Order: sequence, then structure tokens, then C-alpha cells
Amino acid sequence: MGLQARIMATSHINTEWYFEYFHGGYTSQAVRTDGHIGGLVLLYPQHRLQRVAPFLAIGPNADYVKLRERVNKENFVSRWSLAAQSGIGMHINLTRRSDMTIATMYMLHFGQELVLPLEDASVITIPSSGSGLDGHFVVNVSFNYKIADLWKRLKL
Amino acid sequence: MEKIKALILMLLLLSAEISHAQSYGAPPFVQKGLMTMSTGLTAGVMTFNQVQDIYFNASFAYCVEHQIGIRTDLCVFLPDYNFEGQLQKNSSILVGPEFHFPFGRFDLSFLFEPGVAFPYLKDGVTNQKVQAEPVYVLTLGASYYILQNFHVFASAGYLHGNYFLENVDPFRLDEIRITAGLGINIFVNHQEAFERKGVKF
Repeated sequence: MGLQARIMATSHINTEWYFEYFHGGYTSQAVRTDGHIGGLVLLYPQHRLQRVAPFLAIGPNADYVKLRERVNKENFVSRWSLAAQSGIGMHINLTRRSDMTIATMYMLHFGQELVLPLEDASVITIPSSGSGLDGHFVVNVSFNYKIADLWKRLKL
Repeated sequence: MEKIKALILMLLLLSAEISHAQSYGAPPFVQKGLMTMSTGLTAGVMTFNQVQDIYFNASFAYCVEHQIGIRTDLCVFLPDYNFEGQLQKNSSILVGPEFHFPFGRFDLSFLFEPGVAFPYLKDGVTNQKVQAEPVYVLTLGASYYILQNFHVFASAGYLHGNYFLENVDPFRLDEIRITAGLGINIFVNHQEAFERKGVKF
């Protein structure tokens, strides 16, 4: 879950600023918590925005990852790192000023690997292979409303 | 005598209300700019645990478009400390879009609200702080608007979420929530946003 705000630069370029929070199981022995704060540039190929507006998205973000043992909250490791994501999506314009947006992106984390030692001497790592870049898909569904015309009324 | 007078007065008000509600050609009451504040009680039945919960519900909603609104709900958990197995805390705050299907003074609505729950279960947890767990709710609601500034409502929804306490399996927060209550409403911001001069929120 999260929140985002958009500032539209031109009829072809939009920017999105977001905060996301994920919390879920990671293997049968760990719980993973992710926090992302970052920005995206949305590129619209259409000459004029229509009912369905596809876009390409790309942008960087700062991310926080925490990995803890399921049966012991005090046993955890965490890190801050940089990440980037890119993907495609579409706005479904419900009215002139409100839309539902669906996007699928792939996010790459550039931080060091996380190693969580368990009581039975085994370890859980992020990335799961133990080395290389950590990446995952992000599927996003959001509702948005245009609250203000900051510099001029765009022809939508 | 006083009771009869009060009864006649109530019947007159009710008849006026019903005759108003039956003006089918009239536009629906729910319009852009409608702001509502409601309170109610929520009964929750957990689907993966044999537990029933009670919440105090407060909500705020604003119709940004003719059939589209933004709504936020605060559900304050009312614990029963003698109920073994029930969570000690499980309040939540939710925000999301609401889609209205109004006819006359009735309004059916569909609501999708992501949010955060703050659960805490004493058993088996060393850290006694609540955890923030992401949850989301799908809700179907019905409202009836009375006079110009009041409404009653009832809704049923399904909440999904997991509480990762110190256990191999999470405590599933999945719950059917049935809410009923009443509220007040006013119309604000009659001017179209894009017709205003300058930036106004």
C-alpha cells in the first residue's frame, strides 16, 4: 500500500512521487518488510490523452528492506539502498479529472546482500541466490484525482 | 396527549419525506460536492479464527465527481479482555475511492480501501508494541439521505490482511465487517475546480 502524487509537465510527460510499504512472508522462515520512496517519469506516446492512456515509466527510488525471523522478532537484519524501476501501465480516465491506473514494473535493488542467520545455523539471504542484484515485479493499482491546475489548463 | 402530538408530528415529517423520495424524475441526492461524516458500529466475524470483534467506526467522505468520491474510515477496536484468543488491539485506518450508484435519496456504493491495521496479540509475542500491517477492504454500502443534512447507512465488507507475530504462520486478519450508523452531510465547493482562478485546493 502507499500514496502518490503526480505533477504533469507536458501533455506527453508526467512525474509521479510515491511512498510504498510492503509487508509479507519471505520463505517459510522469514518476514520481509520493504519501504520505497521515490519518483517516476511517465511518458505518454499518444498525441492526445484519451479514455485509456498507456505509458512507459522509469525512475529511481530509495528503499529500506528489513528481514526478520518468523519466530523471533528480535532477530533481524535491515539496509537502506538505492533502487530503480521501469515498466508499463495505463490510466483509465473515469472522468476528466479522475483515473484508475494499473502498472507493472520491475524494480532492481542495488544494495548489498542481506544475510539473516537462523537458530539452526542456516541462513536466509536477499537476493535468494545469495549474490547479484535483488529484483522483483511491482504491480500497482491506484486511484488518482487532479486537484489543481498549477500553471495552465492542459488539453486533456 | 403529548405522545399523540409527537406521533402526529413524526408521521407528518415521515409522509413529507416519503413523498419527496418518490419524486422519481428528480436528480439523485448524491452529487458532486457532497461531504459526509458518519459514525457507526461495526461487527466483525473473522473468517480464519473463531473470533467476533466490535469496532467503533468513524468515516469522512467527499464526492469529487458525480459518482466518485474519496473516503477515509477509522475503525477503533473495542476489545473484550476476558475473551481468550481475541486480539488485544486491532484498530485500523483506511483510505480509498468510493463509487456511487445513486437513485433518488438512496445510494448504493462500492468502496475499495487500502489501509493500515495496528494489531497486537499478547500470546507468544515478546515485543508488546503494536505492528503496522497493510490491509485492504472491499465494501458494498447503502445509504438513505433524510431531509437535507442527515443520512443513515449500512455496509458489508471483507478485509484481508496478515499479522506476522512470532509464529511460523501469520495470524490472519481476514474478516467480514458489517457496519451500520448515521451521519451528517453538507454540500460544499459548488464551483468547478477547473473554473476557479489560480490554484485552490
